[in-house]
Amino acid sequence: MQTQRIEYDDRIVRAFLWASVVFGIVGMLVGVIVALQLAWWPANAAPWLSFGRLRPLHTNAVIFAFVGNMLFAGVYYSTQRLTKARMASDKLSWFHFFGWQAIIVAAVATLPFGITQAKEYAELEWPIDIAIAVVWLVFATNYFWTLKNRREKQLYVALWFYIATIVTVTILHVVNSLAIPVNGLKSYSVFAGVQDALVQWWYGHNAVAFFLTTPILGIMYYFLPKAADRPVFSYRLSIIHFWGLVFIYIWAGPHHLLYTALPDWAQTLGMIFSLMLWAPSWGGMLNGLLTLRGAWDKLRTDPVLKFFAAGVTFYGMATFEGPLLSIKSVSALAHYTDWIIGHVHAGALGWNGFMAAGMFYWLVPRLYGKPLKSVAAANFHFWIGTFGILLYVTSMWTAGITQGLMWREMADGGGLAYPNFIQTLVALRPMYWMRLVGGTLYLVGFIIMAWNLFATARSGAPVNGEVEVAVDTPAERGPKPTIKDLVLAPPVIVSAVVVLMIIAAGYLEVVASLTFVVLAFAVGFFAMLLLSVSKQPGKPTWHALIEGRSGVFTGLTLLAALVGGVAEIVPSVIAAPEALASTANVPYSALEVEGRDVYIREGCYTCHSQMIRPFTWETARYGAVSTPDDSIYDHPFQWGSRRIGPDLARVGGKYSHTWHYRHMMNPREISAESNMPPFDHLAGEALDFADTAAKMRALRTVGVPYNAEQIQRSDRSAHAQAAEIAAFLAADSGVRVCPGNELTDACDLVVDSRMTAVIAYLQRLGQIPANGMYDAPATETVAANTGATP
Amino acid sequence: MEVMTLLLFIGVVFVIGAALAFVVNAANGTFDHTERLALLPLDDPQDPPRHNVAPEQEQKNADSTNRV
Repeated sequence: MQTQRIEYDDRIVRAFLWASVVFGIVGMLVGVIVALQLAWWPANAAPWLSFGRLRPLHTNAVIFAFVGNMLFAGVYYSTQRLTKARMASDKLSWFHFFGWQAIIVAAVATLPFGITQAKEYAELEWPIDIAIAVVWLVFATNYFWTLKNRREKQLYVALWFYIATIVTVTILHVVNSLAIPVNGLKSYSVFAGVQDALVQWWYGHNAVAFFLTTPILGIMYYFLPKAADRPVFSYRLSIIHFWGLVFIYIWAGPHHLLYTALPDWAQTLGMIFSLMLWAPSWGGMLNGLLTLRGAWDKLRTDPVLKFFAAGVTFYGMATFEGPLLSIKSVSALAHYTDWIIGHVHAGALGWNGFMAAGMFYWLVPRLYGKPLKSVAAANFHFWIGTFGILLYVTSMWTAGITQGLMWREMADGGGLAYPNFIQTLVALRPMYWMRLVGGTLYLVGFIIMAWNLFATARSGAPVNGEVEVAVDTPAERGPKPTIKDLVLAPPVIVSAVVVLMIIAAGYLEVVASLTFVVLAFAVGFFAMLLLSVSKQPGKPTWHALIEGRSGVFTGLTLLAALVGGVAEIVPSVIAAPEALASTANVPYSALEVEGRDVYIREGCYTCHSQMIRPFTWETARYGAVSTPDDSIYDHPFQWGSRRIGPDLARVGGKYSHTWHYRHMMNPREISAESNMPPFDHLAGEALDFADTAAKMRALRTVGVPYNAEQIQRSDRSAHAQAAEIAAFLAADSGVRVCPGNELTDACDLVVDSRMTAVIAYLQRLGQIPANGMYDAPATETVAANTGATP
Repeated sequence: MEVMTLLLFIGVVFVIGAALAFVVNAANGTFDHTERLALLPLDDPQDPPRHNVAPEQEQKNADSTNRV
């Protein structure tokens, strides 16, 4: 047998690693700034530095820039070693690296300026979305090409998790980003209302699953055994962990939408599958922790193992808490509160952040050929980071539970005990300061790590790994399994039969359906028993065969991940035309469309929800329960995910134009304790209604029933409605309306401004105008921009 | 109540079934090939003999372990 020497491409690993460290600092620093803004509103220093603009930047930077670059470093390093092959193409690797960094720069250049699709963790506009798809496919091509070139036939479990990440993220990103462009910087989601909510949280939840979890589990399965110098506790358990997680995770998205206008069946599915996730998640967590058996003593001295052990423990805590929060009665208390923020940060800081730190401390000495500069500093990082996380999550748990309980508290004589939303906010403020301290401590620890890694790298020189591998001939490889052995094998057929039986059960009445499920399970169980007993000695099992075939393995992984998405999303797509045909709602007017875009641009959805749940305490505070009809023309939906401010689903008509104007000019004038930043800049920002027709045309393409005349006179209609609002403000509160499109010392409000537009939109929320959509008369001439009522 | 009984029954069947399936599979050596795979990450001959633990600390650890 011949041998060959291979030099791994570790330059790309180093590049991704440093990018992760740098963007980690940036993302966490923005996190500290937004935490400060919540505790102390004057920290909203400028419109482009306000909470609504920076919060998406924080989440995107941490998820895609910090964790993204970290996972690529881990994937490139471990895949080459597990396959005994250099990455297939250095050019593709570098295209991936520079492409990804360019996307991050594009995010920094757009999000603070309000260029956003307003879908959480998918805010980037359509040209960047396309760039993400291209770069991701380049990564996928390089990855699968490398798998094809591998010299180790069997795929180690870490590689399975990477495969699941690559195929599932591709689907999630493409489907959730489907949008109709208006221009180069603006688009509307093809989905609306309930359907958009379902797609978005199918994406959002599985971005957590397949971007923040599965690749890091792959990293755990590779780096933890290496750091502990012992094999994974149970490889068999890892098989169950993998298939269980990939199949179940995708169904759990609707748990973000419990008690909303989403159909009950989808909510129930989301809750049940979330509870089922406990099993594979904890199987994986225990597998990670038990890998340390016999090596626990090393934790005293080895910071790498300290970080890994704590990281896996946080994974266990977060994956216990997630299903708990998915139970409907727990969600009723926790949803929209800071409890959710505490939960995600236990995962992001504890699991992702600590796994990243452990991997970096392990990698840098090996990538630069020198021991770590300071073990003491790494240990200090561990303790300050742990303390920071604990401070963060305990303050947010306390804040969340306090908030949830105060919202629902009813007074003895009836009515809400805390009718003013501000009362709850004031109660949380000390916790917001505590969170700021916790986050800052974590960031300080991370900066210490950056220094430590940099000092280690400077003391050494870049080293690329090398390995001597055996090159076997086709004869030595033995006969290849056929497609029949792999795809038409009994386990696949039995699984398909069982899944079909369960789907059929969905169409039967309760008792028959449950009996059918038991029958399906019995068929599956006895088939598996039969297969297991009939195993021929010396002949590889089916699973062993597919572990050696990356293409088939990828196909089956895709299938397992797709089932849940298809089962949940397809019914809503089928039902959408009927819902549109029967709705009593009317489309937004031209100015309301513009106002809605201002709402999206300013990131109002980061603090305000638009979804009133069916609870007495919600209807008493906000009005009637939200229905699917309310948001049927919302491209994208704006239900939100938290309430730092009150729900706005039925704010329309509740206050006067003057109230909204004064509130946005200076929120403290209306509520002394408000922490909302001022939006006074909107009053002077003129809108060009020439673009409105293009927006309405795009919305018509995705199903909003505008006719040609409405679109044609959209500029006139928008101006007429803006002029009415301006005239009201002038008459009611003496607001000085500008004669032109510029704010001067002599006036307070531009008529065709973002201010009048957003007021029009807010006044429309929860209201169906008795006379239909606001529209200018067909024969009216364009009014001069004087602010006078037409 | 009828549904609750059925749900509990199905739950018990699933749990027992899953445990049995795991035991039978393990007993029949269905996943015996994984013994070698579990060692793959450790089979990395070019890994340099470098440590994150400072040498003096490592000596202390060794001493401490010997005492135990």
